[in-house]
Amino acid sequence: MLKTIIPTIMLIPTVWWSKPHMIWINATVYSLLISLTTLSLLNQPSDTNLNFSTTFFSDALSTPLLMLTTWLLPLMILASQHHLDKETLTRKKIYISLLISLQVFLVMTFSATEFILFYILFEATLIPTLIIITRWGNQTERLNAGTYFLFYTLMGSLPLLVALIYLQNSMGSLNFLLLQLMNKSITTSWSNSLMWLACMMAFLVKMPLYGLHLWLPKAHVEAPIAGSMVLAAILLKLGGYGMMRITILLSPITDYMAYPFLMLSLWGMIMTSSICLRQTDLKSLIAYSSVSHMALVIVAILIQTPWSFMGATALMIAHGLTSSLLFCLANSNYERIHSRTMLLARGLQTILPLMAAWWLVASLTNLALPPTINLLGELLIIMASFSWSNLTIILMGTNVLITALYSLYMLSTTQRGKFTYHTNNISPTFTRENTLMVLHLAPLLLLSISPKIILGLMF
Amino acid sequence: MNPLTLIIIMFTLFMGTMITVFSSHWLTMWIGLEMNMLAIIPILINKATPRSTEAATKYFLTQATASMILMMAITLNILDSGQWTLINPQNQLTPVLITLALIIKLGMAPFHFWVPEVTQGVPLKSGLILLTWQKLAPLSILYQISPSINPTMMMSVAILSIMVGGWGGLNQTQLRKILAYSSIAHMGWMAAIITFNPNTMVLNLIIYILMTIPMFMMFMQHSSTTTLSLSQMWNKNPLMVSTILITLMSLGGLPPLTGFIPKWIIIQELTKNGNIILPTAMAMLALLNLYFYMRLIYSSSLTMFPTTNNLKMKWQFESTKRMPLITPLIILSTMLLPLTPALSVLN
Amino acid sequence: MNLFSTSVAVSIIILVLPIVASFTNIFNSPNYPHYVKTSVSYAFTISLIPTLIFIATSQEMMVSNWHWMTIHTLKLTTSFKLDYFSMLFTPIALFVTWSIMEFSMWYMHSDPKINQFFKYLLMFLITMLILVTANNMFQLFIGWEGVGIMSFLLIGWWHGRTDANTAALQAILYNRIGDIGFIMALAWFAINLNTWELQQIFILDNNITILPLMGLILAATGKSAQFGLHPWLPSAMEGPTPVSALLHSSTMVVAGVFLLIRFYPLLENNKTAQTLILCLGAITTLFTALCALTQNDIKKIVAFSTSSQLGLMMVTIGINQPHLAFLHICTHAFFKAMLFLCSGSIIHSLNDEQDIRKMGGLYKTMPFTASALTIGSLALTGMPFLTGFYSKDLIIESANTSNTNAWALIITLIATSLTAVYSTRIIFFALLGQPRYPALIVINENNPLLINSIKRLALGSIFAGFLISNLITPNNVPQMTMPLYMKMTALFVTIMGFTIAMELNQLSLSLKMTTQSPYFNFSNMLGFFPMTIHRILPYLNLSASQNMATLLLDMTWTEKAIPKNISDIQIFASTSVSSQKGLIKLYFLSFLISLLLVLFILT
Repeated sequence: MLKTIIPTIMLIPTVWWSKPHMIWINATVYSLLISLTTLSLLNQPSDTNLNFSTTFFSDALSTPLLMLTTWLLPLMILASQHHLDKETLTRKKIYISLLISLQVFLVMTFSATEFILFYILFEATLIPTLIIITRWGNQTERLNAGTYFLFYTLMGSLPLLVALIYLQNSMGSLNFLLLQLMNKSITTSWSNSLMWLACMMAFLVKMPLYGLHLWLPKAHVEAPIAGSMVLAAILLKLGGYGMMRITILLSPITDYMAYPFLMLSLWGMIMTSSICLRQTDLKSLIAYSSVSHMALVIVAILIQTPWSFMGATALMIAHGLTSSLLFCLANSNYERIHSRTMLLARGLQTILPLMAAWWLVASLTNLALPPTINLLGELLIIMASFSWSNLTIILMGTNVLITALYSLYMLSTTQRGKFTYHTNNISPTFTRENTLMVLHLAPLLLLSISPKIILGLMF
Repeated sequence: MNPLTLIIIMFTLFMGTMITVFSSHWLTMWIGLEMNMLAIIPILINKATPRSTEAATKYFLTQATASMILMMAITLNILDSGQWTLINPQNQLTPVLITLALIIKLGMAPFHFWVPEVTQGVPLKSGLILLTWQKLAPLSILYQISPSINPTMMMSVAILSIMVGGWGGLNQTQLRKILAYSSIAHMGWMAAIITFNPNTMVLNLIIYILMTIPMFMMFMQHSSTTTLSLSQMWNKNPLMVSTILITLMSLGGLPPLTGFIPKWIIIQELTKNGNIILPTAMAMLALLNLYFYMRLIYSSSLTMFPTTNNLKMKWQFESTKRMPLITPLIILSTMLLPLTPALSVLN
Repeated sequence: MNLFSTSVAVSIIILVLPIVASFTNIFNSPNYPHYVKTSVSYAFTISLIPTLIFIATSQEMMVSNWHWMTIHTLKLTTSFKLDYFSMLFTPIALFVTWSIMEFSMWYMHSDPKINQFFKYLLMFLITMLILVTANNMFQLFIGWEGVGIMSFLLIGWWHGRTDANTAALQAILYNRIGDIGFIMALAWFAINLNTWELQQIFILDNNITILPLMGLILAATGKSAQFGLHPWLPSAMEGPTPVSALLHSSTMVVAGVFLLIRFYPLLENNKTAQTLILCLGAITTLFTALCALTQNDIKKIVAFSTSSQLGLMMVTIGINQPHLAFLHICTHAFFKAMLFLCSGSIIHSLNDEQDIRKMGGLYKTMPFTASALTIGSLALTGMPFLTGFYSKDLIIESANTSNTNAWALIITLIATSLTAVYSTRIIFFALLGQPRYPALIVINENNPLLINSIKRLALGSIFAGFLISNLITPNNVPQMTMPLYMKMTALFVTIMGFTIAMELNQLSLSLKMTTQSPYFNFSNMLGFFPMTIHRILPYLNLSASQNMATLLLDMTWTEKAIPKNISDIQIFASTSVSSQKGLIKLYFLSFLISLLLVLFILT
């Protein structure tokens, strides 16, 4: 894993000592190279895991997420260029360094072998994200959003720390590789139910579970583009990853403790996607759509069947790329229209036809068009929940319907219709932006050829 | 102040603490505390203004009270055991009294009122000494008598201190007061662990001091005492702004910064001893501290406070004080977490 | 191994080539539509080879080649089923598309993005072929969703118009409701039978529960615009006429019926499902025929007639005659596509005038279109020995003689007779009488692109039924004997329809109704369906999402319960903790109290 971590750390000096006009290029190219080296992780001769050391390892669950992380850094750097156009050189460098440090933390989080190390790095990702949101956001509400982001996460995760330390004391080790082999002695008692809550809440907040999701739309709306991208693409997936790792520990309790959260997620999935129908704010719409998709992942993880785990992993990757792409598109609109309100930017297809094509593909992947991996994930999850209870198909079906509706509503509003008169003097799309979209779409579409590499441990 | 006087006073201050720390005789220990207390008074006053005088008076009164209670406890101990040696007191009353006296000296929860006011009244440099060096002597005594401290009392004091430290700081805009409340909260964490593992308490103290010194040094460099003056720092010393951010986060105990080590170890120790709810509550209450640090961070580093053009020129006219140690201190106060495995010696 | 699968592959490759070419500079060439049209015609010719082989030798084939992945025990491969249904439907779809593309070269010639339009049509065709040839539910779903999305894009082709966008959204919404059923069926099959391969499903268990079948019926309802989910089809007429001709008459909308035909081995054992399909089809066919009666938009009339015919196909499946339903799909494709092309020709010639009240007398100015329209209408009504007759007559006969629900049968018969009524109405208003269009319009239908395409389909409308029904060995046992009056029913109801229509039209010319009758309103307002369902449900849904989800739950309750509540508590606690007076007296008092308390409690 050091093959990834050390080059990523060395990106920081690369950026600081690059010539002023080369910082973006150097950072993008080298981070892209780093992300390509992680492809070798896909070669996993042993079925269970690829053990590198006692500190870092990767297996079928973490590898796709790791690759997504490293893949996203060049994209974030590409996407932020316009946003930082007016800033001074030092600030640009600080910004890129923050993004890089975030990637370092994320890579280490996903590859951590030990739960406490995972926890520390999980929390460590907060600091760069917080700085990115609150320092480079646009409105004053960003401070509020940053506070919500930080404190929701911390409130959820501090009990996890205590629970983890307690588990370590009782079990002797929290090594992911050993956990599967250990004899768990968790009985169904009140205190163990509380421990279940403590263990899960951190990740449920991070996902976020409906009811604890308020921080997410706020953070998404206020964050600069790179912040939104990384938040939607990776930070939310930390929750899913953590949940899948920790459910191994909590096996008998989850069966009955999961019910309220399953219900809440199913309900919240419908609620948040209906909220999307009435959003006027583009970024907020995408954010709520993330909440709704993540609710599916929560349902899948809590059902705990091999199929649902596969679905959850696939949907996490698919949603990571899709929502990041949607945020990029929203941002490229924002950079031209200077507003996130959808009504103010209509009929863009007429002037930016290629961008409209990206919008189309992005919306279609968001509504899970076959044969994308989004569909594969959703289908596996729907199947898992259908076999759990036949009635869930009503809710799942409604969600499928509403998802299609708001995705296409978003597409129609922004791209179709008459061109608004005040949006004159729009710059054409840059090659940089088109590259950005293609780099999102390429893995998304290529993965549908061979989705088995993102189906996780259970495949 | 006259340099000669200053040297003598500083020496007395230093010696007082040292005597307390190294002595094994109750009386010498008490004498050391008194020397230390008397020496700090002139430092607190520094330039005689009504505010600093008031602060020094308040400090003197509370410390003297504490000393008297301590003296009483020592006397009781002699009556009881017949010797002056610092061994763990056997009867019930004495350790409680000693602990209470030291808690007053440290300014922990029910006796915390003086801390923010005294810190607010004195100059930054004196405040630094007050919040760091002055904790050493009482804590060394607590360390030595730790087996006989009543855990219930210490735990309640700890929780109360953390609460007061958190809630008190929420309402403040004065930097010195905020740091005073932060000190109360940190003392609470130390109190929580002292009966279980005093070594961890020492670790916590060291790290607290490590984090507080660069904090004060950065404030001193720009003589900022309010949030407002902090928010204008970005056009004087932009680099400092980011170090303030990271140090404050470390002070708030966010992983992966140094400030997380003591929290982690303390939670671990408490959990090992069968406490689950208590560390959870403590960790949650620590978020209050983090909240007001966040406010400082927001105003200093993450927003750019609007300033007049004149103010932007201010950096040209201000003499920068030389703070050579600030860089290593900041690094120590933020990046020590990877060394945590080395701390297994504590057990 | 003979030419069978190879030629299918070749025809598909020929279709894919223009898509690939669209990424090169060829896409900017004005000849691109021509390339596309030619490729489709080549593909059609080549696809005739396997069809002829099939007709000659009844050879069927299943191609299972590329292994996608295996999830536990569920094996997913791309597999194509080249059987009766797909082999007959593929050349028909290609033929119709060929003609429609040629027509579009005339109809869309002024559109600046005509190349893209052709690319979309071609992509639609490919997804349709995927749907038809799929031997795997997942692959079928790919085609299923593909045609849905392409229909969204093509309906919203004139995206500057709000109506077009609304119609496109409406289409996708109704299709998506159907998809829920499809997804449920997918889930059910995967869980219970552990396979998505069609032949494995059929082998495994033929007496499955009603649940997956309900899912499939729902899917078919959505895609084939059956009653309840029908309003999208008339709205879809906002799209360009070639789109209506291709998607909304001959290919995409029959996908739902096609799905049920594919699954007939499961349906034929389940009487409940059959009854359900029968009733659904009967209601649809009558309701949409009623709606067609009073429409004034020529495309809407044709659209409703499509919907009515789809209902008839469903009825046929309901009486357990899937092959007959399939035959009707095939014959219907020819004349319905032609009817749309004719209406397109009229609309284009009259400067985008769609209202039949503003037409009239076109048999003189547009003789070719008029005769084609008449042929199409007659074929639609089931005029003997035109294409429609071969399927429709059989359907009515089998329905008459089958042991079925009399109510559904009567409804179907009424609808059949109404077919004649609205067909006559088009002919009467658009073709006969005095011209009612502006006098300055120059009408010229002598364009080979227009003439050829319609001519080809007209030939199809006349002969295709005969050819298909003569060449194919029937798979279901046809009804051999029946009394004369039953044999004549279909003809009789149609003639009755013509008579009534003529009578009504005469009536409407000579008499003017002072107040509109409620029946007229019912029919003209499409059964008040859009007014109620399209207003109430979205209103409820949107207001619920605004009031309940956004305002009440999100912005009030969760905001209040967690962050605001916590911050209120903290503010209260903080003010009470930090309200210090600075008086040392009070501090010492508190010290004293705490000291005493501690000593009192602990010692």
